[in-house]
Amino acid sequence: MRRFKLKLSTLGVFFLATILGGLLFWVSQQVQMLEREQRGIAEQISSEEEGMRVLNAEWDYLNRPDRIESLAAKYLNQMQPVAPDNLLRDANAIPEPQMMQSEDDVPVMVSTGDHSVQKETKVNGVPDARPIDDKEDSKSSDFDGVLKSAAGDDE
Amino acid sequence: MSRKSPFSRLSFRIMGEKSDHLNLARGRLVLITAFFMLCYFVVGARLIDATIIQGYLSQQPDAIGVDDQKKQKKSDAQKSGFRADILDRNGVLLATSLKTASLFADSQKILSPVETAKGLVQIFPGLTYGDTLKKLQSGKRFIWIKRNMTPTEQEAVLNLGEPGLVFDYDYHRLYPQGNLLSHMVGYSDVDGNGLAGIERSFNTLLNGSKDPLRLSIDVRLQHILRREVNRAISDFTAVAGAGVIMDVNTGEILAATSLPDFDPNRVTSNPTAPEMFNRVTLGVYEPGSVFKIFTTAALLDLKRTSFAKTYDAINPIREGRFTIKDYHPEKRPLTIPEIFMVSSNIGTAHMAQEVGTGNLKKAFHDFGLMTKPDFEIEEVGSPIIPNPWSEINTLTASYGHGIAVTPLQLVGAVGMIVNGGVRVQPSLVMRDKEGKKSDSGIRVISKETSLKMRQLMRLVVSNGTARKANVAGYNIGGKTGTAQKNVHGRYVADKRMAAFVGAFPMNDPRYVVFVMVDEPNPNKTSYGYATAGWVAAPAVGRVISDMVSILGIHPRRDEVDISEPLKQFIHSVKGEH
Repeated sequence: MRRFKLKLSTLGVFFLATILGGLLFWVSQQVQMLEREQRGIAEQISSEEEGMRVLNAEWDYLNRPDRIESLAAKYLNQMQPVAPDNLLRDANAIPEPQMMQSEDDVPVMVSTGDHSVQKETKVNGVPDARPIDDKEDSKSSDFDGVLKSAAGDDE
Repeated sequence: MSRKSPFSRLSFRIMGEKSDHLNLARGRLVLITAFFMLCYFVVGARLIDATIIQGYLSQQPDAIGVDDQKKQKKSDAQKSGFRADILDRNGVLLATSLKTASLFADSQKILSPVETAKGLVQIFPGLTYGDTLKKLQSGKRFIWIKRNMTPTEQEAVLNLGEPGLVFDYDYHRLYPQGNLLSHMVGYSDVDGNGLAGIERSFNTLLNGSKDPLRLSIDVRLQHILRREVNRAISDFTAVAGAGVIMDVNTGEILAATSLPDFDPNRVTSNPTAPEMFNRVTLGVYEPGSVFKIFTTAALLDLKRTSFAKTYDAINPIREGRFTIKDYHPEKRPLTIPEIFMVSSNIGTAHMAQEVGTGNLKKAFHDFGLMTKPDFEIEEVGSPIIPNPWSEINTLTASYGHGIAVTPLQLVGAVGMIVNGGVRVQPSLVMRDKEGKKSDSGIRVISKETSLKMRQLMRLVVSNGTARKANVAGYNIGGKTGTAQKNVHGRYVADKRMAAFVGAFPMNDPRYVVFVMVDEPNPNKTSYGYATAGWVAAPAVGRVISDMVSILGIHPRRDEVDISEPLKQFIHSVKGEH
């Protein structure tokens, strides 16, 4: 009499197939999740890049030479663009700053030629006679102005 | 029946001879059942995956901070025209594409048209309440409200909280430098087609690439040049002007300005308006005395003459119905340095006669003055050459009349003469670093001629008509040119074109600076003069004195003036022009 028998190997194969199927399902889920994550990151990168493009454009817009020039004229009234006369070939030609100077000291020559000696004594004298508080005050208000105008200049 | 089958509990036994067949059938049944169970299991698992797992995941944000709106943006980005950036030589943005939001409305989804219209009119002052309300009540599914909003405006629209207002994202071309480079960079339309300048000539490349295009322009020098040309125009109440700075060794254009100009961000005027016209590359002008550079170079390169030789400058030349006169006649025979220095038309015409028509035309051709130049933008004018070229044309062309060229050609030709005599191609696109010294090797004049020309040009600035262009320590040389304007075939006495082309440092030239002012009028500071020496030369001087600190070129006060050897050929000179 032959009876229907399920062989152990058949059972094993069946079991294996189920496990592999489950594994495959799990892997495919993982892949889908990772792909989703990767898409998300790529989108995030592209949106960050777009943000950088906007900021770059804004940076170059705010750094237009004519705007810098007008801001410098407005807030840096002591400073001028470098004139050819101010260019020195040799760094040693720059004089040491004369902070503590007694009255009978001979003024040090700074210039490369054009300036008179009188001008030099002025340079070597007290450069700015205002008290420090006063200077700081004016500085901070100037800076506010810069911020305001920068904010207002925004398009 | 010794062993129990695994399915023995479920089974009932049939004994007898047919039991084997039945067992077989049952076995098959079990297998088929198992197969279908597996199928249903797979289907069930897939259903769980598709509904529960995928559903759960789609509820979650993909990654931190990225939501559905960004996905929408991404898909839009693929359809709309992104154009590559245009940069200057230091990487400053000249043109860029930014993603901007445009607003449209779906009027069927609008909850309260009246409120929405009120809100929109407040945000966009350009809209009128009546029109907007009408549109919102029209029942159409797609109504443009506003293209290319700013982020602030977009936020205000979002704050209205109206579901019928929808954003569409596309790229918008932006020129952060505004008017600064309007003619060279050009502009493009809403759909991303370049209409002028580099935007037009590189249209396909810009649309097809993500890599930026780097120009040889330096915005700092461009600003200085534009400022000074502008200043010359307003000081002398002129109508227009142009300026160019070129590297004489590579031919790179570092700055090129044509005034009046326009803002490429808001192009409103039609293409024929005066501010749209590129005077540097498209405009052709009679350059006047500047052309004496080329005549003199042609003569010196023939090596037939010497500086000591004198030419008659006493008697005006009469040729047919023309009379060639001097602006400030010296009324004596002049040496070549004197002719060049006081800019004598008569003397130069005699020199041209000595060169001969054939040689002069060939020299002009070598300098690139006779043919339309190759350049990276499409707005390039062809020179106007006398045709047929008769004897009188040789005489007038020698001092820059009866022949008209673009400032671009002029600058290129002067570059060739001062750089040692080697042909350079003016170009607007940044070269690779290796090609820094783009020695084409094509020699147009000899080294000696180039040196002599530099001496002569230095003499014009140190002693001649362009003393106002001098900047101590930089050995600037150049040539002024004041041409009367030709209006409807007649030369008008008080309408002039004042130009100065300078190069520095003359010992080893690096840059050519050109400034041209159209119809300058005399003012008080110029003592009634409106000639190039008063109008264009000081502007070039100011440009050079500002650009040297940016380029880091040191003054050389110790160097001898290269025009010094020519002083022996200079006799008493009174004229200034």
